[in-house]
Amino acid sequence: MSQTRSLMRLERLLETFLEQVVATKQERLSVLRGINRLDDLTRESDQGLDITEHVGEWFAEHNRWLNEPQLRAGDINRIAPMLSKIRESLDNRGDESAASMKIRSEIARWEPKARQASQKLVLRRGPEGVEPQPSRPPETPTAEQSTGQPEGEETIARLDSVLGRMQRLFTGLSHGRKHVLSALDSALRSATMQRQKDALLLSGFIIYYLKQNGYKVEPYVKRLKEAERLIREEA
Amino acid sequence: MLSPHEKAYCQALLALRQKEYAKAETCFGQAAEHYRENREFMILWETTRVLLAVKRELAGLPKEERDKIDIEEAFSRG
Repeated sequence: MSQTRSLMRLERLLETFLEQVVATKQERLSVLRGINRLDDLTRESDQGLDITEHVGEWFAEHNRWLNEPQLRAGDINRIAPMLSKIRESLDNRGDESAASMKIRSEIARWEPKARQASQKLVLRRGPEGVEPQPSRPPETPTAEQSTGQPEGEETIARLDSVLGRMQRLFTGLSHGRKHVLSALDSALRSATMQRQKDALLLSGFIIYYLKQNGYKVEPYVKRLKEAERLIREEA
Repeated sequence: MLSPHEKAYCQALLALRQKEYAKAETCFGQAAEHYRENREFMILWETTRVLLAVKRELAGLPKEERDKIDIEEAFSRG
């Protein structure tokens, strides 16, 4: 086989490989494209540019994500602060146009999705063998109440679910970071700005882990307490 | 917001989807500092680099030679 022929075969082989990788990631790439576009718009709005029309187009294209499962918790944790920032710049500009009001209402539609990524942990009884305190507020009904699971197993299932969400959150926050401190910083920001309880729990866990490994954690503890206060106030 | 490295990786993947290999290579390069430990990233980056090198090599060949190969391939496939 001539060198030219070998090169052409290799070219075709490499192109096919890349095409197939892209094909297997089609859905993920479409999510990334949407997040990247929103990120561009957020930056433009930060620079004071009028992006109302483009954000409207973004919602028109991506609002279906609200009802479809392709978004990961990490994606929502990316999208939510961008939308907050866009709303903030609309507020700063004092833009009360109909288009801008529409954008605000679209952003509001995304808020439950952001909250859903950080569902609350509701402990409905104390540890085994301890009677519930009579002074406690009424317990929040949960989906598990209708599953017929015994309460003890229910608490384990709930913690298991929270740990799973924290793991996914950590994967999202640490993606592309060089140090766990960067992931902690992002987690604390999510807890503070988006009042995300999972992010708060994850921050607490990382802080304790760092403390055990000899890091100075005081500044982070302060931020954790502040985030905790904000979340408590909002609850 | 996305960090510049995340954005670059994302743009690299989108460029691959569009078969804009030179753009993908540039974007991979911009993201590399943060993704060198990521195996998938490295495989995609290296593959893109090799592909571009092959394309450059082929572009340096006389046109007649490439055309000849195309004709031969067409015949060999019937």
